[in-house]
Amino acid sequence: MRIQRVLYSVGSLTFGLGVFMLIPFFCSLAYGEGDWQAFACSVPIAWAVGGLLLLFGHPSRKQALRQRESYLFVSLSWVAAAALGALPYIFSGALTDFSSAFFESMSGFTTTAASAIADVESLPRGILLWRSTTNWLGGAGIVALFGMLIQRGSGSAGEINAFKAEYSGAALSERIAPRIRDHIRAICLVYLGLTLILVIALVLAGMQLFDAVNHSFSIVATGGFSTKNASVAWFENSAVEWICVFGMFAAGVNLTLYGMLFRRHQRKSVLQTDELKYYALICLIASVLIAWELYRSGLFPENSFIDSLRLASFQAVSLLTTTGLCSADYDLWPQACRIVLFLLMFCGACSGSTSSSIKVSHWLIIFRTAVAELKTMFHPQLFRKVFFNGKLLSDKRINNILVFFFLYFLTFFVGVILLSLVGLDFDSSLSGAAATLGNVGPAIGVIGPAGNYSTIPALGKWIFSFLMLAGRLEIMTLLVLLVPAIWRKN
Amino acid sequence: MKVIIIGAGKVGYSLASVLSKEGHEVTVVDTNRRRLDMLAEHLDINVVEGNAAKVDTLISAGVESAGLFAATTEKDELNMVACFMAKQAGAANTVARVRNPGYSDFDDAARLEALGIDLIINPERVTAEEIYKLINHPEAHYVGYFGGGTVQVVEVRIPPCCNKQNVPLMDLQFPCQGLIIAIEREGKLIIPRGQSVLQAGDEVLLIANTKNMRALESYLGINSTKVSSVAIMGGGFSGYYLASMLEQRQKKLQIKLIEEDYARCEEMAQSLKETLIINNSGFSLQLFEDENIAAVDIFVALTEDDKDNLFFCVLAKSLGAKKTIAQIRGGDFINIIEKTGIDKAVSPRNLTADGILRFINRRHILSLTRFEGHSGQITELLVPEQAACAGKTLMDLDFPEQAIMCMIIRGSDHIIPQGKDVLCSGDQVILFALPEALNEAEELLTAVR
Repeated sequence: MRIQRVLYSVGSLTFGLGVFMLIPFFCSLAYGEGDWQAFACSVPIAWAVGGLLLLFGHPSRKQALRQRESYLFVSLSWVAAAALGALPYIFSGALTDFSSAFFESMSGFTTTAASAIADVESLPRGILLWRSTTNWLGGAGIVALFGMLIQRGSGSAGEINAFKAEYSGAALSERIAPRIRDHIRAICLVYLGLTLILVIALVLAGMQLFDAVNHSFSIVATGGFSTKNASVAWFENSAVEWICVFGMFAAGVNLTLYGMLFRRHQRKSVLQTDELKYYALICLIASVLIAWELYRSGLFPENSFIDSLRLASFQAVSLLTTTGLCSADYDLWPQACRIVLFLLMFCGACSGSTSSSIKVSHWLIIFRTAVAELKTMFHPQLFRKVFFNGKLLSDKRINNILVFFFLYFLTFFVGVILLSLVGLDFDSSLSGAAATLGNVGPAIGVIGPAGNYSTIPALGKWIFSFLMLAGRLEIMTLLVLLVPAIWRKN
Repeated sequence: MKVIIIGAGKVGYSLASVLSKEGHEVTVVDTNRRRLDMLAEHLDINVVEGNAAKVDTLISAGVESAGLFAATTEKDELNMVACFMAKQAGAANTVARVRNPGYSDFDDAARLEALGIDLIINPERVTAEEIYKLINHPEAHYVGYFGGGTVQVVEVRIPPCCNKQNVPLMDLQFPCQGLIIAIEREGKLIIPRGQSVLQAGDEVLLIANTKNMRALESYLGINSTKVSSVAIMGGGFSGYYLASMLEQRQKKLQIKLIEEDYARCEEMAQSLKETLIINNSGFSLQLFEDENIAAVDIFVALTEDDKDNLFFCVLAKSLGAKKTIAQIRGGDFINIIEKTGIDKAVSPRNLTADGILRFINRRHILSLTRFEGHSGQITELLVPEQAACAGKTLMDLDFPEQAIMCMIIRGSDHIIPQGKDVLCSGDQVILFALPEALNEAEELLTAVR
């Protein structure tokens, strides 16, 4: 592990972060609000930190990043981004203590969007845009965005690995371009395209441009930051809600698939992806189930079945894709609905999308492995076959997913225990751990859709921040740093 | 015709033997001197030692005037390159033996032409196809298709329960058009006449429309057994081909494929989605019990080793497998193997030679050597324009005793020939004959006025 080399890469990345902070800076200036000063202070700090790191790591700049170094690089990058991203909140006075600001920033970058700010609507526009922008940047992947887009030539093993560590399921989907940098560019184009389409759709449905941009950012990233306290429910516009449902669903699809649609020789394999099929199926079943239960319960007699379906599918797709936008306070819904929604937090969307949690592909592969394993109970010598997208999976890949699955729940359990020790109640610690580890955001109870994370004690916020980061980096990237051997010199 | 055969292996030997006995000028090319000497000792052929991928070697074998150039070595690439060069040098017809599915599966005629190959023959695939036919028709020992698949010839045994025994054939009222071509009884071949009778235990050769064959069989008391499970031992190319053909069958069956090599299992698992692939050498009674081989309908042994195949089939049969099929690649004992209780022995090299022969002269050779030690042959012939026989009734033709006209295909009509039927130009005739009568019968039908 060559710390110097890692810090050099982190430095170039923080430098890039400063550039993106200029977006809310100019927004503030345009709206003539006072928070431009917060960004005017934050940008130089980000550049100074980046510059110092670059200077420190400069001698090692010509060495290629190794695979083992990539894990530290990715993890440190996210921590650095979250720390520097917290500065505008403090400088603007939106949040006063660093633990809350770090929590808010980490929650933004990891596309969790659990907010420590009690009253969002009182915030100036620049800060609101910065929240959504962190969502949007984190969804695309900050290493991919800052590190690789500016790079030339082919990536080294470590850089490719850094991308894989950050991009969920990159190993399970095909590349659309032979070089990793071109692949990332293609995905970023898809990402930009989706954002643009969504902005236009939301404006046409009657949203203000500023709200539309913010919501598009958070939907495409499957983040969930809203400009309103009541989230999407504030708009009371069913067209907006339906657009959000389809937007979240589209963001949950493997972004590579969109790229493949544009390539003739890969178009055929889009149809062969069974993950997409099951993802749509889960969305449909969950929506109908919740809608039916909601309608049957008679709790909201003013709603027709179509209204129930709209509300149910919004919440179901939102939690499944780990977005976390809300169009209703599902905490008031019947018990069965809450249970289903809670369980949906453990299921993400497609691998290769911006969503987190345990992806549909993971569930699918684990399920198929279980079926294959059961078969070997009565065919002891059977060659175990597990297919994904029509291709046979190697035992190594399956093991990797099983281990991820185990570590995910282990982290969840440890998180729940620590949170309860910090003093959170039963509902909050259980659902909070699930919602932050899955990068969903709103949980159940105090930290549910109607509440927020502002009342959580400081230590609790740090635990939540760790869970969010662990969830975003799919656990293993972070936990591998706990293995002593990785820190050896050679 | 001048024939050049590349490769003095099993397939090359088999082909050279058949062609030289038919009177062709055969030259065999190989790099192995001792193999060549062995061939030259047994067969009336010329041998050339050298690398077949070199033009000099091919020229010294006389490639420019070759009517048939068959590359039959174990190496796919060598065979393809040799065919390409032979075609360039002027060989009329080229045949390449290609085993790798990646090469042989393309049936793009234009691409084959660019490679200078007229026919790709894949012994493993041909073997799998043969076994596939037998699985679809489990009561038969031989199944052949003619007239583009519309006509079927099967070899079946008359069961004791048949109620048409000892009835003169002319009194039998077949439910559909069909004919008993030949009867084998106690090792003797009988070309049946009107007064002949059937007996239990007779092996009979039946011809009928493919869709009517079942009706004809059940009329003779032969019940088709239902096949619902197949076990294949050995996941080589042929085992793989067979499993993938069975997977594509309309009526689904349970397929088990047992293969020793783990990497090969993995490779096959990529495309065999339904087959249960079992990673085991097969030399364990435990495995046979675990996988319940005793209850399978058809057990096929397709390993590399003939001895193993024999062993597995004997074992499966004794445990209770209903029908066993063994692949026998080498040796000269294939014809007596079916006396050991194994239901069918399949020889890839005979099938390959058969495939090549069919390509050059449209002649089907049946492995019916039990017919008095001769191969019965089935030939498809086209009665040419202005044929001498056209317009004559069959009675007027002086047809040899040892040959029988099985069916006339005229447009979409299938006619079982009777003495008063008249031949026309353009008729396709399916003919069964013993070798000594074959040329005479062919002459009669194809001579031009």
